[in-house]
Amino acid sequence: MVTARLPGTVADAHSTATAAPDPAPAPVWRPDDEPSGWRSWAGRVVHHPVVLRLAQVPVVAFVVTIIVFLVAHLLPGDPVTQLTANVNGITPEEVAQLTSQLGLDAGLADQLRSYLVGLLHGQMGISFYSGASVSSMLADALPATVELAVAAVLLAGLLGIVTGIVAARTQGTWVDHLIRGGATIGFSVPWFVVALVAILVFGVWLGWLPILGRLPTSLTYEPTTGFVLVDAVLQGRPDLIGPWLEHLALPALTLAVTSAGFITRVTRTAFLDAQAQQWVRTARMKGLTESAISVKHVLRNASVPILTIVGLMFGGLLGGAVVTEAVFSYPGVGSLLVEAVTRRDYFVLQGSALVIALMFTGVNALVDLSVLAVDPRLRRG
Amino acid sequence: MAGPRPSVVEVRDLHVDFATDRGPVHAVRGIDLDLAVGQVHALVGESGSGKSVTGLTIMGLTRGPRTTVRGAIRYGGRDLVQADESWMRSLRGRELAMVFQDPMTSLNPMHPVGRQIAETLQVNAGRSRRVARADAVELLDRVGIREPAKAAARYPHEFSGGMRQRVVIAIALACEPAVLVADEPTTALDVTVQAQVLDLMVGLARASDTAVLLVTHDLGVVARYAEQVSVMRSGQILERGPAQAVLGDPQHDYTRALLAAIPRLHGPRRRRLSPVATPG
Repeated sequence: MVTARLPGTVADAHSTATAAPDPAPAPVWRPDDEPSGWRSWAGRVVHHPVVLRLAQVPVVAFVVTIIVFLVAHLLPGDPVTQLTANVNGITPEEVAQLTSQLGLDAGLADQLRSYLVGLLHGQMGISFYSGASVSSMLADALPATVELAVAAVLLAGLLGIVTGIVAARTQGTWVDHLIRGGATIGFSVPWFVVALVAILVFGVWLGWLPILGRLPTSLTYEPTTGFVLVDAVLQGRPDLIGPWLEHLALPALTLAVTSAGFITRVTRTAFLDAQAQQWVRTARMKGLTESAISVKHVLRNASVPILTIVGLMFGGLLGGAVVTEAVFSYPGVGSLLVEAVTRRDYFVLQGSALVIALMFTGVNALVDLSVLAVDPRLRRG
Repeated sequence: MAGPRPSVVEVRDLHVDFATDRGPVHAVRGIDLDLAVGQVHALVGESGSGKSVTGLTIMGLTRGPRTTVRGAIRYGGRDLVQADESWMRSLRGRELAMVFQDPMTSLNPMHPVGRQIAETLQVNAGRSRRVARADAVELLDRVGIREPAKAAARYPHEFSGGMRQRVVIAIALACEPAVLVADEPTTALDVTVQAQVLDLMVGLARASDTAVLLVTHDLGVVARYAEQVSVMRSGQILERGPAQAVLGDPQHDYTRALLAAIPRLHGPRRRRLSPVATPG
């Protein structure tokens, strides 16, 4: 027995500890074995980063609502002028009557108050044009935008992380230079340029992919959840998936190509940083192969900055989605927003902006939570 | 412990050069070194003398496009200088292991310590994940970590430096290697735990007949643990021999200077500390 041969104080302390008839249970592997106690548990919940993070979401929503309301109403031009632009011989009385009908004759503070009260009751107002409720318009448009954003993030993440790792592993070679150059070009070119080039090349010249809309008009589609993939399963409509992917391809690629460059660069740097750490040498000392070290050790350590940049990029991506949706006539929240701005359709504008802001904060909260899940050092205190 | 023991590792005329942007650095300049079964061979010298590079080179961890290694490191009938990387990899963890200087950074912060010990057992001893994790708990127990089952689930940042170094020792000795390179294993630790950690490491190594190359600048450590000692400076070994002989009757001026540089509690009060002479 090894312990018996240990010299010095450690061995002595150790052997007395094990010699005592200790009723301790057999060693079991329990990953979440933590010292507990109700009081410390409650304290941890209140001060837990997750709780703190989620508590910020309503605050952000409120501030965004106020700002968007003010910006919308302070923009030059108003809905009534837009509505009556093509009506000949309209009298000032009729204009005044319309203004009053739309509730625009009240003071700004009153309008804001009644909008906020409505929001608290779950009412987001109606469109001045279609008369449809903003919440139903958003319910139709939001799934389309979520599909686009998720597809774009997945593509950009895959592209960025893979190229970033390849660049790090081939540091200093022509492969590395090529990838870094490509990444820089990728995030230097504006979305709409990429979108227009993509339409021209893949839609017009090659004719491979559809360039407008979310599904072909020839297909009848009755949304259940609004998410095509989910509905295709629920309704037993596999015929929806192909056309849906084809329509998603160009807008999602446009967004992905312009965002992947950042992820590439951050991944490369994070990977190189992690690779230079001392524990990589320990892993080599254990006889692990370089690829096992990359996957099991380095990537995990590099994932915190990568996750963070993907979350932040999601914000930029939503901004890009607004433009991209408009270019591809993709019926998402971005298209709604752009249309609402040009028409001064206040409630639609405010609702769309609020939804986008909530998506952004929601995703970033999610990213913060996954960072906590990845890095044990951040979990406490 | 005295008496001739068979050598496990024979280093002959080893040279290690690094190409840097400011020209070549000759870190090791033709040294010979023998590591014997179950014995501790101390490699002493000041910073930059090439001690750590020697240890890393035996492990095959200095390899790279900017490194040139010449000479021979004979181990198990082969020359490790000539061995290809996959062969070296198969030896590392299983037959050659190392304990590094700074335990604060030598463990992966993202993985529980139990998993990091289990990993070497899975890779090198072919254990299943289940068995390896149970063995990891036992190893933690053996390196003197209390409540090893709970400790296995904890992360490196939840341990003190001394405890982390015990974990690294558990990783290094998990597969009972033939050779252990310990690169200043206690330099980064509190003085109070240095002796505990060294007692543990040397005790476990002797128990499994592991040859230890103990890289250190602490002559007290040499006196207490080593059978053999080599004094290194500027990439060369100046003096070698049984530890008691070298420390008791140093032949080389540099060794004498090293010994004289140790501050004494019971010496004359106002005496200046003696610097290690740097001729040339």
